[in-house]
Amino acid sequence: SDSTSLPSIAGPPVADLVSQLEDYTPTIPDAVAQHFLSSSGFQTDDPRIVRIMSIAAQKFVADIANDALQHCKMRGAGQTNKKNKDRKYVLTNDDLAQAMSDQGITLKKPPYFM
Amino acid sequence: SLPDPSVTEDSYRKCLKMGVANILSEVGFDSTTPLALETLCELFQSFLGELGRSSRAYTELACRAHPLHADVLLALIEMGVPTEGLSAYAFRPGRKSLANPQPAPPIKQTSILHTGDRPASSR
Repeated sequence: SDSTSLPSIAGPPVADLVSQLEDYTPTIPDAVAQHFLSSSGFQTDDPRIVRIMSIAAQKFVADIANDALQHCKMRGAGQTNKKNKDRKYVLTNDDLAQAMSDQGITLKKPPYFM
Repeated sequence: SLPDPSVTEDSYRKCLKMGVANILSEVGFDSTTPLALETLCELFQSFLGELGRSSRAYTELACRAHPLHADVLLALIEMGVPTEGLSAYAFRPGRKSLANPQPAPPIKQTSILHTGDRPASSR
């Protein structure tokens, strides 16, 4: 293809995805996503649109969680079980804060809650 | 449709917490601190809120009342979220899903408590 054409901004793949979401159950139930969407003023009767928004949010959270896991592994944290030598990974706010700052989100410890 | 007034905000939060915990265990965590889980829930909620608000703005900008998936797509791009991996993420192997929350069964009317025995002769 010629190099002068603009890169396609994921037009067809996402349109394909929407058509595949007819019989799809996301991890977060549709009713929950629908509720949070409607509380921000978004109303739709099309469950596929709710699902694609829910998937986008889930991926966002999963990517951050994955980053946090990498930070957790790099720190060498995790309680080592001497018996079977496998580690238990616990998600803490410190790892989460680092993973989120990679995405440009600042996480501060809430001062009023413990 | 209007939200059911009998379902409170709290029950949706609870459900969301379960879903986020599900995502965490899928990523590979064994457990989480409550604060971190709460942070991720808040993150999910505000992401969805912003996406909804932005999508609605695009819908209204195009003089439509019903959103199309193109509006959502524009909102995602505007938010700087890459859309390439969405399809692969949606149909990732080994994904789990939670069922829609069901309303609790209605509380039964308790019957009147009978005390004492009515003497058979008085009937």
